[in-house]
Order: sequence, then C-alpha cells, then structure tokens
Amino acid sequence: MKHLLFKCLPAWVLAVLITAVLTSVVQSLANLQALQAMGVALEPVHWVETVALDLVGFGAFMAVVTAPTFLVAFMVAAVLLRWIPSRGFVFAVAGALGMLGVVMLLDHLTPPPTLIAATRTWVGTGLFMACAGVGGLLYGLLSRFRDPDLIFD
Amino acid sequence: MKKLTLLSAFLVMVLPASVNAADYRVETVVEGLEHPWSIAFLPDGSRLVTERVGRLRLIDPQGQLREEAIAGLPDDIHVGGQAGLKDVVLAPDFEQSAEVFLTYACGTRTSNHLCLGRGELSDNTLSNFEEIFRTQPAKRGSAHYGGRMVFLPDDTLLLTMGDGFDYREEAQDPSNHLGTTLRLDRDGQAPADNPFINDPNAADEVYSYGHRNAQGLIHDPRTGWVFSNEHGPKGGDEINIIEPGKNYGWPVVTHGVDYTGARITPFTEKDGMVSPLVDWTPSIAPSGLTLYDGELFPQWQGDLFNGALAARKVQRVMLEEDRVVGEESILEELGRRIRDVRTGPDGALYLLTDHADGEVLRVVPAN
Repeated sequence: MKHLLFKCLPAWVLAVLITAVLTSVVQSLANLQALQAMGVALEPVHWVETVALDLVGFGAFMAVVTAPTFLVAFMVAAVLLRWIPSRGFVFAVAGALGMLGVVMLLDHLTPPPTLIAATRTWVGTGLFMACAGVGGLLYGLLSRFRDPDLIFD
Repeated sequence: MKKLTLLSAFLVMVLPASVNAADYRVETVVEGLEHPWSIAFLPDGSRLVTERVGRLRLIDPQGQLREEAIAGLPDDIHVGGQAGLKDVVLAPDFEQSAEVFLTYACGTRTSNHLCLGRGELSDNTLSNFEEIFRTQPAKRGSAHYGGRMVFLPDDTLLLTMGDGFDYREEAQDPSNHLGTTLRLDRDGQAPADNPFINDPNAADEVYSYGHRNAQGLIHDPRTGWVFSNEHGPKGGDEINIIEPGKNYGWPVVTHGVDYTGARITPFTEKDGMVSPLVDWTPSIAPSGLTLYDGELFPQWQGDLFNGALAARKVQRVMLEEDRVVGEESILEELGRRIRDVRTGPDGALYLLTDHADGEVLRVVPAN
C-alpha cells in the first residue's frame, strides 16, 4: 500500500497537471485561431499573453475537472490490466475516454450547450482526448512498479 | 394586491446617494406565474404576461390573473433551457388592429430558431396567429435567443437575436441572423431602407451585429436612440446605443472571459467596433430594460432601469445625453431574479421575477 501511495499519487498529480496544461494550450489556440478566422490580426504578444493567462484561469479549471476524472478512469483501467497487459495503452485510453465522458457530462449538467469552447467541434474534443491520453500514458509509465500483492503491476 | 412589502425609509438617511431610489414600496400584483418573461399593458388596464413555458396570460384591470391561458398560440414553441415563449408587444395601432406580436423559440432541441408571430387578441384568444419571421440558420441547443422587441416610430420592429452560444463567431458575420439586431416590417419583411439591404454579403433583415445575447431593447422617443443591453460571458455585460449598420464587436472585443475562465479575445476595444455605453464586470446578467418616463418618481425620469438575473436587483443608470453620470443598485432586498422591468402607464415600475413561482411586482412611492 505504501508503494501505491508513493508511486501512484505523484503520478496521478503529474498526469492531472500535464493534462491541464496541454488542454489549456489547446483552448488558447482554439480561441485565437477562431479570431484569426474572423480576420482579426494577432501579434505574437497576444498568443503568449493568452496562453499564459489561460494557464492560470482555464488551466486551474481543467485541473479541477481532470483530477476526479482520472481517479475514476485509472481505477477502471487498473482493473482492465488483468486482461489487457499493455499498461501505457490502457491508461492512455482510459484518460482519453474519461475526458470525453467528463466533457459530455459537463455539457449535460451546465446550462450552456457546450461549456468548453474548444470542444464545440469534434477536432477540439479529439485534441482534448489526446491531451488526456498523454496524461494517462504518463501515469501508466510513472506508476509502474512490481509488487506481486498488487494488481496495479 | 395579495401582498404588500414596505421598504425601509431609513435607507434614505443612511445612504444619501440612494435618496431618490429608496423611497418606494413594492406591491405584488400577481404571483404563481411560471418563469414570466415579458409584460405588455393593454389600453383597458389589462396586462399580458408571457411565461417561458409557453403560456400567454391575461391580468384583468382589477389585478386578477385569468386562470386559463390565452388560446391560439403556435403549437411549435420549443420549451427547454432558455427556450420558450419570450416577448410580447402590442402593435402601435392595437386599439384598431388588436394585433399582438410574440417571439418564441421554435423547432426542436437539435434544430431551432427564434420565431416572430402575430395574432389578433379578443376574448382571451389570439386568433389568426401566424409566424411571420424565423431566424436563420437553425441552431442546436436551447440557449441565447435574444428575443426582445420594440416598435420604432416608423412602424418597423426591432428584434434581438442571440448568438446561439455555440455559434459566437457567427455574430461577426451579418449574412446570418445569429448575434444581431433585426429590423422588420409588420409582415416580417426587411424594410427597403435597412442598412444592409443592398449588401450581397449581409442578410437584408440585419440592423446591427456583433451581439451576444441582447434581452433588453427600448426606444427613447425623446432622442430617437435605441438602447439595448446584452449578456456578456463571465463579465462584459453591456448597455449599447444601437445604430444601423454598426458592429458591436462580440466576440472580437469583450471585457468578459468564458465561463471556464478561458480568454475569448485579447481585445476590449477595436476600430470599427462600437464600445458599450455601460460595461458590467463582474456580470449582473442583464434582462429587461426600461427608460423611466412616468410621473410617480420624478427623480427617476430619463434614467434607465435594467433588470438583473444573477445579481438579483435592478440597476438604475443615470444618463445625461448619451453619457452615464451615475449608477445605483435598487430592489436588492427582494432577492429575486429580475426578468423584466417596464414603466407602466400608471407611472409605476413593473418587475417580473424569474422563478417557477414568478411574480408581477409593482414599485410605487412609499407615500
């Protein structure tokens, strides 16, 4: 159990943070790209400033959303490891599907049709899933340890 | 009057800046309305009230709510989320024509529009009701319909249409109706002098564009100005003076950010885009709007009163010409979401509260 705490908890925290950062950058780029598509000229400072501000604002939101999502998704993935031995693959898919699930859940529970602007398109949703997949993969690799008593190996 | 609420006059002494606003009392005209959205005053002293759930109700001159809803409304009203029956406005020649105009969400959750229709009111029935205009394109989701109307002195009708929430970039494209103010004649057609009538890249009905979700719209007969308020996202609520052909900026310029905290744009102003008369950050969620011209509160004359949903109050905006010289929050003590604010023909300020047990409230001088 000690191994579980020392290996899994930091890996989960890191996976959440990485996913929050990546999705935040995707969100920034999506909004700025939408402005460009409307003919708005953007300076490099606009890109840098927006990415930085979103890391603080939107990144924090995504960390809060991703943390419980990964908790559930990785528990399910840990069980699936009994039948699917590819650890990185299983956690990456679990992360991606968890992200899809939480995006759909948020849209269902909140008044706006689509709460997260970048996920208004399937491309944006796919990129968010990919970001969560990276987080999941990272978790799978960092939380690997060998203990015959634990199913997480 | 079922309930009488006296508001404390001590605020007059405590808050000298609020002297003019604090000296009022609030009467409940009617309660038990399901999310009332708009009110119109009939010449005989009756009042029409829309309920978002798709009912039009009549309050008689004695203040009694008729139990049966008015019959004859369209059967394709889409109800859900923000969708449903919205504004009700009488034709300028109502006493002769008996015409009533309604806005409502129409269609389904996955494909819907804002519709404008009209019918003739008689004996608790809207007869000959017909849809005369439908915004395009169809949108998915039950949010951001705008839906507020006002007649101009030339007998044309201004109508606000929201950006549909998921389609905010469309507000910068006047070739469609999303995120616009529209100007129509009484048959739902674009008047020949509309600002984009000869522009092949814009819809004929568009009067102004670059709006998010305008739910307050009034015409000031003294100056000819049209005032509109609109919901910003998280922050960036606005009051604007609407001029034909102008771009009001959304979503290229705003003081707000997405509900998630994401930055929508780096810009709060830009050449070629009209800046708001008033900006509220954080948001108050502005709803109905009135320019007070009644006799009961002489000190309020010429001021804008703006309902607030999220902030649960009425925001008084004091004007000098087209300049804001002060603001004051009133009626916060009610703790109710204010959906509409109107100046009644009796000079009282009328409020609709946005609740499942919504009310029509009447604000009159304390003495």
